[in-house]
Amino acid sequence: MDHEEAVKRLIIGGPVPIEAASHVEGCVSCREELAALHSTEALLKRAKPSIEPAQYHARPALEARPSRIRRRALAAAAAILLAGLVGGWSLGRMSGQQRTAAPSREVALAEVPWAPSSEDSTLSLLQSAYPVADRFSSVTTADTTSYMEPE
Amino acid sequence: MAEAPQEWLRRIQAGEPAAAERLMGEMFGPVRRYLEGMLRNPAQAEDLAQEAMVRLVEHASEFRGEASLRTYLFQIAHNLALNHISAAPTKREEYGSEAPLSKEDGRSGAFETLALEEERRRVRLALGCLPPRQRSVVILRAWEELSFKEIARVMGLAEGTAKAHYFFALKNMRRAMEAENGP
Ligand SMILES: [Zn+2]
Repeated sequence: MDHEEAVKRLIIGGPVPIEAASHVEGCVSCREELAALHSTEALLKRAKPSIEPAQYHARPALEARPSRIRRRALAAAAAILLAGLVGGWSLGRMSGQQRTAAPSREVALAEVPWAPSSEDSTLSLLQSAYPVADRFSSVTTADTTSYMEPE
Repeated sequence: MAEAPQEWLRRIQAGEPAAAERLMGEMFGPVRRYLEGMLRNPAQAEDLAQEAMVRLVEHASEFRGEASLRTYLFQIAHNLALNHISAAPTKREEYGSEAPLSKEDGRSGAFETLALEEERRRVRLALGCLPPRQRSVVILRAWEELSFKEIARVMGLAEGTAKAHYFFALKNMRRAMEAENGP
């Protein structure tokens, strides 16, 4: 058994082969190496950062800042809502104008005066027009999974 | 966590705030500490820890119960950390900077000795010199006290490979600390 393998067997714990133990016992360089690595290990353990309780009790992750998932859910819900409203607007316009040429989707979106430009406006829009949006205020994954796109 | 993990996850998915709160209380801190050790960026660690918690619930149906919930959560966090590191490699000088890890506890605070602070600084510096997988193994082993079998599962490695990573990580850390001390 070589020096490195012998020291490794002693560092990783568990049953130590007799061959490794007897090598290290009789080898000065291995004993020094083993002592140095044990010292590094002890230093590492002493440096372990502790956990501040307030850190997580104060900020439940599932409802803290808007997560990517939450944004995805909002975007998906906004798209559904917007498509419905634009569709309704288009139909209304078509009937009002005696069915002239139907506006393209791009034109229709550009002409919607309240078209949401940010997540915040999307959220307020959802809150005013889409009852399910209220549920995001105490969002859990159970609330959002049904609106999520697959990964 | 005495209850079966699946039952626990089911309660969280059903929207029981108490279950989610308990999950956060028990798991968020360790996951955040692991990610902060991996990334050396508290804000990113916080974000990824939250992402890990959400994904745990999101992928609850994939949890088969062969491993503990804790191991499963670290597996998610580990994958997030590696993706993050490969997307934006951490600069060593940034990793080894003076930015502290999570705030320390009663062992420290007002009674924090300069010697302990110095030790922590040296450990941060040495951790920053490790390749990400070695860093992950030493943090999971020395700070989170996972067994090598659990670490192997978290990282998708053979147990022997996890042990070898740990051994070489300690050697590399020792070398880094010696190099810092000078000849
Ligand atoms: Zn030897």
